[in-house]
Amino acid sequence: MKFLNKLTKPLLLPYWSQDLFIAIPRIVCGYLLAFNFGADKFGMPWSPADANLGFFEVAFWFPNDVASYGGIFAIAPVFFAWMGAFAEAVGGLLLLFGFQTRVASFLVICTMLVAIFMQQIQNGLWNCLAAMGFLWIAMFYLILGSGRLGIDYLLTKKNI
Amino acid sequence: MKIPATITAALLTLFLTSCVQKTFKKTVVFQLDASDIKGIKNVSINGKDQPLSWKNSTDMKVIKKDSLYELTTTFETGYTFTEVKFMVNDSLEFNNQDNRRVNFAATDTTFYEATFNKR
Repeated sequence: MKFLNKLTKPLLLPYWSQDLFIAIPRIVCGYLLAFNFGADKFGMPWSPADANLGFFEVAFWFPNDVASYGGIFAIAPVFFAWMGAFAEAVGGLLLLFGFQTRVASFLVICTMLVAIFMQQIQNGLWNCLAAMGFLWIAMFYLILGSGRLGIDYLLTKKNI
Repeated sequence: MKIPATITAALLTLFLTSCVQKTFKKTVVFQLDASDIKGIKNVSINGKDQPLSWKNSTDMKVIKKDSLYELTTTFETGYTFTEVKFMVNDSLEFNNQDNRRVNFAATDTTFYEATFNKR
């Protein structure tokens, strides 16, 4: 319980306005991951109808993509594909609302590292920019937590 | 009660495997009327789903010279549609416009008839 509280409790900046300012990239990136990048390959209620995805289903083509990375990804492509898609769609949603922000950040960091080094790097640095952007954002929130503008703050307010 | 790691791993694998979108085989018979074009040298099709692709064109078979061309292809897909464009004499139809959307029939085989560069 103590560990969970530590994991959830955000680091607060001296002023509300500073927390408000640094919440902007978290909310924008969370929204983009949950409603755009993630929802295209992971079945969420708002996934595009054309994707034909059931709830919490990973797109049929994604495990094949993941298997092509080779190594451990070729051994368990379904697991890694599901986790990667889950990290984007659900992790993005958690980031958006600032709920278990550090857990979500960790999932996003792992996914973006794979996206950068196993998928995009051979296509040139330019193609890595989107994944790198999400990676930097998630790295900051792994340390900071949700700040004052998130559910984590409301849950741990008494202990701050 | 402790659950052995192997059982946990097996259950997790089973759960995740069942969470992959189901695929099905859909055969589409594409038939193209290109009778408006004079001096046809080659007719092909490009599409978004394998075995078609946007990079490489797939040749269509001549049914009636300078008029009717056909290709039968099978997709293994989770989608309910695919997108294609036809190409005559290396010129792609609907340049800078939307692709043709081909909705798969409920049955295994879909018949799609089109006229080059016309919706």
